[in-house]
Amino acid sequence: MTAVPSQRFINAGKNEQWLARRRWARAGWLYLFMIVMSFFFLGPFLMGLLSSLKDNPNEYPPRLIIPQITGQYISKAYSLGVQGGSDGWNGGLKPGRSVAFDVTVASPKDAPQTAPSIILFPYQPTSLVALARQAQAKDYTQLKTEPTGQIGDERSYHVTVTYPLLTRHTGDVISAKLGVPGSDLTAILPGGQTVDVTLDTPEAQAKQYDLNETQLVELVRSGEASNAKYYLRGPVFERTPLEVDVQRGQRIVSSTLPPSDKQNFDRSFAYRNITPGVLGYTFNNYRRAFTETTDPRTGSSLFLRWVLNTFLYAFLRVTAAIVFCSLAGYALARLSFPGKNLIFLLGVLFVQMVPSQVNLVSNYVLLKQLGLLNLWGLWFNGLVAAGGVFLMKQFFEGMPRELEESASIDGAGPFTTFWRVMLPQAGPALIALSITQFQGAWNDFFWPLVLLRNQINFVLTVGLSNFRSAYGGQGDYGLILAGAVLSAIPVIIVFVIFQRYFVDTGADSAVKG
Amino acid sequence: MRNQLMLGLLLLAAASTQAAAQTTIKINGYAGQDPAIVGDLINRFVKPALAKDKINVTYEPLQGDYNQQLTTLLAAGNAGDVFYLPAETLDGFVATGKILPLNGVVQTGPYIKSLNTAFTRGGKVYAIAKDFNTLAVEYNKDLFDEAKVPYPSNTDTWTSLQTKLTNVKKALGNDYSGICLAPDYARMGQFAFAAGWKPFDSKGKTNLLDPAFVRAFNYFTGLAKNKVGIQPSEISQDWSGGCLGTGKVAVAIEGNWIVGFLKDNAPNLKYGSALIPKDDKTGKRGNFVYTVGWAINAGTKNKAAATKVLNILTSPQVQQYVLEQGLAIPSRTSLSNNAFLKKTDAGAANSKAIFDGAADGVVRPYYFGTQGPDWIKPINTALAAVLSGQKSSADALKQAQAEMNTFQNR
Repeated sequence: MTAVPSQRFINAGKNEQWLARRRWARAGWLYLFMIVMSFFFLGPFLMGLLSSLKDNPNEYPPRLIIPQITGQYISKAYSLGVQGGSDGWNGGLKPGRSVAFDVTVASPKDAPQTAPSIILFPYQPTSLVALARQAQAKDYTQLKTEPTGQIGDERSYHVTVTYPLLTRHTGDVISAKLGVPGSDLTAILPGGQTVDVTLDTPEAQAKQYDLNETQLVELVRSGEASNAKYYLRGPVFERTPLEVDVQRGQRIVSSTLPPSDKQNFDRSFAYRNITPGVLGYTFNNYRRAFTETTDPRTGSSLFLRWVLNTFLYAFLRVTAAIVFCSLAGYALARLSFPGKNLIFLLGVLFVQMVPSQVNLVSNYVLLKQLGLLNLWGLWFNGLVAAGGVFLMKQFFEGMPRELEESASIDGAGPFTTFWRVMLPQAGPALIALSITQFQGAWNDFFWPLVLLRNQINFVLTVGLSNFRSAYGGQGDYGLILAGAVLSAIPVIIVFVIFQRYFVDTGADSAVKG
Repeated sequence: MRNQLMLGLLLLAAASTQAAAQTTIKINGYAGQDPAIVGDLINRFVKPALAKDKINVTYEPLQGDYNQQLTTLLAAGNAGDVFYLPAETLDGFVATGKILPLNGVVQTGPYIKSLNTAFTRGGKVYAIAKDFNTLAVEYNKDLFDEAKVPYPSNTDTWTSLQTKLTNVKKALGNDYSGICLAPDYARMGQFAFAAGWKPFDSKGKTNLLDPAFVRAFNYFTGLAKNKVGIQPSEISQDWSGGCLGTGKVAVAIEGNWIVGFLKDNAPNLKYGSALIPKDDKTGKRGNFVYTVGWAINAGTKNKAAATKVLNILTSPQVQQYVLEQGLAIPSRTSLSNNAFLKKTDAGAANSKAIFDGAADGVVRPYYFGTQGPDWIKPINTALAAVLSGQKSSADALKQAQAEMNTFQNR
């Protein structure tokens, strides 16, 4: 008996070291495990985030360093946005402005020495957009290419896109949106007022029938406020798409922004937008998710509507779960009434065992007859979560009875006990319930898909599947990824903020002795 | 109690419709781009024409699997008054009795005959073709130029196209391929039609060991030899249109739907379109015609209004607008001489090849027979097995025929 401890004391120093090493090794393994796990869980999200910034999210092999997150190109996108649209964030091309873009082409001795062919081309992605054709920069601007110098066999060219004004009048410049076309052009001012638009130059008159409803334009107001006249300064373009083609043997060495598409053995570069601004460059797909999913009838953003719908649905679900699950859970845990066990067995346990698909037809028909094929029906369908009742029941059963006994000594009835004593102690359980319910509502796909029929009623999950159906299954992956990343953010925020409340309850310190 | 409640609700509903005296016609169709397109048609053509009749029209897209969703809605009695009806799944829907026969309701004369046939069962027409698509050879002009090989043309045969593709591959090397081959009956069947194969014999059975089918199957899978043809998945794409967009594949066999895709995703790709090549032996072309029709719900409460809406949606003005916007190929024969089809830009040239494809050689609807879409599974499995080199063509076809027999005897 005594030999062993003495042996241990002799080796104490060694043991100390060995234990310290073990501790570090354990910490190391734990961290490694956590890093690997977070790589597995976060990796796809981060890759999706990165791909959502790309022009071609499907590119193979995928790049990790992309121009959209490179400082140099972001600042160029900003300055091009300032040149074209006097706005470094949103970019665009506005009347009266001009944009400069540089291209360098290498022409070895045996290759043609000609200048590259540079043109503007029409570009308006079709997926999910209200179909009104937007005016294209190529029909309104002038393009000039001039050589600026030569180093070795590399020649630089300076491309200038100039957008002349369509009116000779001067005055206040107002942004507006074109209204329903009639015999004359009409525009809707930012205040909601509809005015007639005067076309005072032949260039402007030539475009009268090319401009569609919802086109953004700039107008010039002249005259007194009461009988002011509005002259068309020109449409505002979101994009300035440019294409550069060189001959066989030549090579495009560099350009102000990297190209979005390369074809013809890298001899044809397309820049989908040379006036992007930072939002149009780095966050192009995110901006598209909001601006290009507009309801054709109202012109409002569908994606925004879906986000709001989802928040409303999640909020309703969480509220209902907190109210009903805590009440039912408390009743099942603490009150005694006939049939309590039967209710628990049938209403809580059995309900959880039945997959929700089984109720599909009956619930659908019921909701249809109640006229509830909408968000409220969706809410009604998941009003009381059996899992939540179970969670709250278990939690209340774990609370010390002494709390209730002391409350009843002070004269509290069952409801007061619940409301004043037990519920305030149930914070962690309620937060756990809220998080799971929020997440469940946010990611709910099956029932919303079945119940919601109108585009403006969709929640995000169903809306995102709408992005996928463009081109008969060949999705616009940039939009899908941007939408998916946006829809993941709220859940992550909720979890990060509330996870610390999971841990602790003050109840164990409430009982003395 | 419940009856009283329902009665009350009904009365309320009746009162509210009376107050507005407005009929609402609901249309069900595809999701994706269609809500924007049909919404535009409704605003431009349907609403102005029906404003005085107090008919309101709404479009509700169905997410996910359209056929499945439409079945659910029809069963629940909640489907639209007017809806899209794909020709390939017509039989299942006709069997439910929920599709209104259009004989005597709508004139079918002005529409392309093969499209009417696709929607006719037992002498009754169940839908009017909304638009249609066929297949064409879409090629990347730059790759053919670089390889100094002539473009695919309307006079090509199976072998001459194969030679061209092989020459392109030979000239351009490892990073480039001749053609993208999706293991799909919908991209291979047209060759079998050209060779003289019929999908169903007089008893409704399918023979995949028919020499004509075997010859077409071997031609299609033989294009993959020496990596002249690759599967889309080999270059991280999910369809052959995506392959063409990368600029690394010379040819894709696709329909008019590729135009919008390329415009958005490969704006500087120079491409052309040619008809599907002829079989050297029979001297004929084959093609699929894919079509979706407008049908009327047999249970609609507003048959007259629904018919009006259907007639406007298939009117010459609407079809001309849809064609000129480059959205779809019209189903009316009178539009075959439309100026749009004579334009020379890539999109219009494609429309022309697609339109001509419908009337040249053996053209059959994309159709699964009475047993539904599972019919193509044995064929697709065989194509995938041979294209990926797991099986010989003979083995794969033998197994496919065995699976087909089991399926058709079910």
